[in-house]
Amino acid sequence: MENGKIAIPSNGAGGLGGTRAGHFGHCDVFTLIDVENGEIKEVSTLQNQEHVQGGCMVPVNLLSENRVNALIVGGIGMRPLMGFRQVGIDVYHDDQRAEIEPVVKDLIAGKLPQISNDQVCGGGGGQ
Amino acid sequence: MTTILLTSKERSIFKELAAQFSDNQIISEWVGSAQEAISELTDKKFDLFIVSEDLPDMTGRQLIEEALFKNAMMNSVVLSQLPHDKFHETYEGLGVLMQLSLNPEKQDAQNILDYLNRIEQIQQQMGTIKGESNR
Repeated sequence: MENGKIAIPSNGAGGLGGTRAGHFGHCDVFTLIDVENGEIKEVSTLQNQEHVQGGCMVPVNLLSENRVNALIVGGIGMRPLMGFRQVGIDVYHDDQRAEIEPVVKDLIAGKLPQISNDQVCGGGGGQ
Repeated sequence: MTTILLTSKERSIFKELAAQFSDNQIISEWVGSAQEAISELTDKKFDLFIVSEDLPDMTGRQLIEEALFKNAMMNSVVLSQLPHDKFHETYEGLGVLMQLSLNPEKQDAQNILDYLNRIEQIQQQMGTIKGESNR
């Protein structure tokens, strides 16, 4: 990624040195990384909203309104994945590393894969 | 204007729901099969999709998944006899608002509308929320 804004569902206060939340809909905050010319330009955080059953479009709209281009998740349901795609946010996948910084660096370097439809949570597809 | 697509084998099971929606100036349409529902969802935008699991041509989960490819912003409700935990397992990840019985009543319609209003309120609250710089 040369330019854009990355969002990472995060635990606690978030930030580049923080850890990733396992379920994006229930995360405390989103860490937002602004990338310019392939470099981290700015790090900010965005408070997540109340999560209610069926309300998975709330974070989709939240990140869309904050002009996010890419999201990194450890797991995601089919509906929010489709929602992110429909608002033009690419969803990347890493379910191995808890730290934020290395997955961000991998995404910027083009080393992180986008999540596929068969990697979503639920419906026997695994978590 | 809220628009709702109702899908079931028998139209009569939605009688009370449709009446309550109509009383709230909400337009609802009914179709009798999954294929008809997919066709409607291809041609039109709905705010809510209510599906009965008794369809002859597709399972509830398959139909909700198909609908998500058309419009993930549309909310969904499923009429199902499954026990709560089995229902959750079956529909996990699809963002289904709620499970109703196979014979929903007027109060269920009001519960759906209240729930949609709650989600709308959360959406409105976040209109002013922006990221805070920490670097």
